[in-house]
Amino acid sequence: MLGERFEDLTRSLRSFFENAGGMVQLLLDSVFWTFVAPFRRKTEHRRLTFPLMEAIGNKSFGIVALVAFLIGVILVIQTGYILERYGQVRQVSGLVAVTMTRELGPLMTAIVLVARVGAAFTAGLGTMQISDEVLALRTMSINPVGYLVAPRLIAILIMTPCLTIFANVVGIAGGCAMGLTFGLDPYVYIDDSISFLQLQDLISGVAKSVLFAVVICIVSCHMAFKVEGGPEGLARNTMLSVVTQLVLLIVVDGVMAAFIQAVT
Amino acid sequence: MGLIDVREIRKTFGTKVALDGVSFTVEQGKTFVILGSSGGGKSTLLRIMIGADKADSGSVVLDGTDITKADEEELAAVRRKFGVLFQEGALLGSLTVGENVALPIRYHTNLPARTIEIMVKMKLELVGLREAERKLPSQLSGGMRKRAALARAIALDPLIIFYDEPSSGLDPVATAVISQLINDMKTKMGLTNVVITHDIQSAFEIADTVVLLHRGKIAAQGTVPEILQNEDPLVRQFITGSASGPLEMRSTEGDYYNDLLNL
Repeated sequence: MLGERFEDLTRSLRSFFENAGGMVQLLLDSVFWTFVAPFRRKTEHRRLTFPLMEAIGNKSFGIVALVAFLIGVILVIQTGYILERYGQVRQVSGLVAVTMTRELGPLMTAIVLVARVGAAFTAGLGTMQISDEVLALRTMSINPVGYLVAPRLIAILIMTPCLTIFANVVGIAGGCAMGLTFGLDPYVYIDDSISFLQLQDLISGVAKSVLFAVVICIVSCHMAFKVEGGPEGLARNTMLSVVTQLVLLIVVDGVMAAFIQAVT
Repeated sequence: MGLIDVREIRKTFGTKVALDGVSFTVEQGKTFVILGSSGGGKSTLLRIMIGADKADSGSVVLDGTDITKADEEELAAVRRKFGVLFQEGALLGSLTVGENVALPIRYHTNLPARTIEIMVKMKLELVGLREAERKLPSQLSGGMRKRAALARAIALDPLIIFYDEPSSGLDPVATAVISQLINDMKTKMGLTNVVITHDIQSAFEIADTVVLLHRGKIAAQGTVPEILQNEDPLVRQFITGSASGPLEMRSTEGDYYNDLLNL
C-alpha cells in the first residue's frame, strides 16, 4: 500500500518535471523560431499570423467586452454601497480604474483567452498530433514549432495587450454606467478615473498581459504535442491544458504583483 | 550497399520487444514491401526508418546517412530525400489540397508563386486529382485523400517514398488505383518505394522484394515468386489468410478456468 503510494508520488513528480522541462524547452524553441529564425531562413509567419490574429483578437472582442463591462458593474455594486455609507462614493471611479488596469483587466482577459484560445490551440494542434499531421510536417523538414507555434505566439503576443487595454476601457465604462445609479455624473466619473490612474498602473497591466499570453500559448501547444491515445487522450490533455494555464496565470499574477510592488 | 540499409534494428517498449534484430537492404528504383500482421512491428519499423522514433540499437543508412545517429539538422536534410504517405493521408486540414502540395515547395525553394502553382497542378495531374486542387481534405473520399497525400509526398521530387498501409480503408477499385500509382512512381519516375502493408494482394501486385515481419523478426524475405513458393507454415498461413496456424490472433496468456473461478 505504502509502496504503491510512493510509486504514484514518484510518477507524478516525474511527470511534473517532464512537463515543466518540456514547456521550458518549447519556450526556448518558440523564441528562436519567432525572433531569430525569420532572419536566417524561410518561414511562413507572415502568411499564418494574420488569420490567427483575427481568430484570437477579433473574435474575442465581444466576449471580452461583455466580461469586462460586467466586472466594472460588479465592482461598483460591491463597493459603492460601502463607500456611500462614508460619503466617499465618488472614490469608486478611482477604485474601478486602478483595479481594472492593474489586475482585473489583464486577468479576466487572460481567463477568457484560456477558454477561447488556449483550449482551441490544444484541441486543434492535438488533433493534428493524433492524425500524424505534426509528424507529416517533420517528414517534410518543416519544424512544427516554427510552423505551428511561432505564428500563434506572435498573434497572441500582439492581440492580448490590445484586448487587455480594450477590457480596461470597457470595464471603466461599465463602472461609469453603474455609477449613474449612485448619482455619479459620467463626466466627473471619467475625469476622476483618469486623474486616479498612473502610467505605471497601465504599464504593469500590459506587462502582465504579455506574460499571460506566453503562458497560454506555450502551455496549450505543449499539451497538444503531448497528446497520445486518440480522442480520449485529446480530451484529457485539453482539460489538463486549461487547468494548468489557469493555475499558472494566478502564479504569474502573484509573482508579478510582488515584483511590481518591490520595484515601485 | 542499397539505397536504404537497415541493420540489426532492435526496439523495445517496456518489456515488449517490438523489433528484434531486423536487417534488410532496399535497392534503388525497386518496390520493397514489408508485410506483417497487426502488432508485428511494421509501423514501429517505418517510424524508425523515417526518423520519427529512435531505435534502441542498430542502424538505418539512407543514401549514405545513418539516420539513427543524425542530429536534427542532418535529419532535416535527409528527409528532403524522401516523402511519406501516411495511413490517413495526414493532409493539413486547414489547407486546400493545392496548398498542401505547395507547402513543401514554398517552404524549401525560392520559386515564384506562378511556378509553384504550375508544379502543384503537375503533381496533382500525376495522381489524377487536378480538379480537387481547391477542395479541403475533409471534402475528399479516403482514396482521394491518399492520392492527394501522394502528390504532396512527391512535391519535392524525392528519391524514396514510404507508404504506411496505402490500401487500408479503401474499396477494391480505390486500392487498385493506389497500387497502380505506386507502380507508376517506380516505372515512370524512377522512385524507390517502401510499402508497409498487410494487404497481401496489393503487396504482390507492386512488390519487387517482400519481407514478412512476425513478432519483430523477419520470418521470410524474397521476391514475390519466392514468397509464394515458401513452405513455411507461418508464411503459408499469411498468404492464404487462414484462421488456424502459427499466427495466433487471440491472447492465450493466463489460465482461462482460473480467470472464470476468480470472478
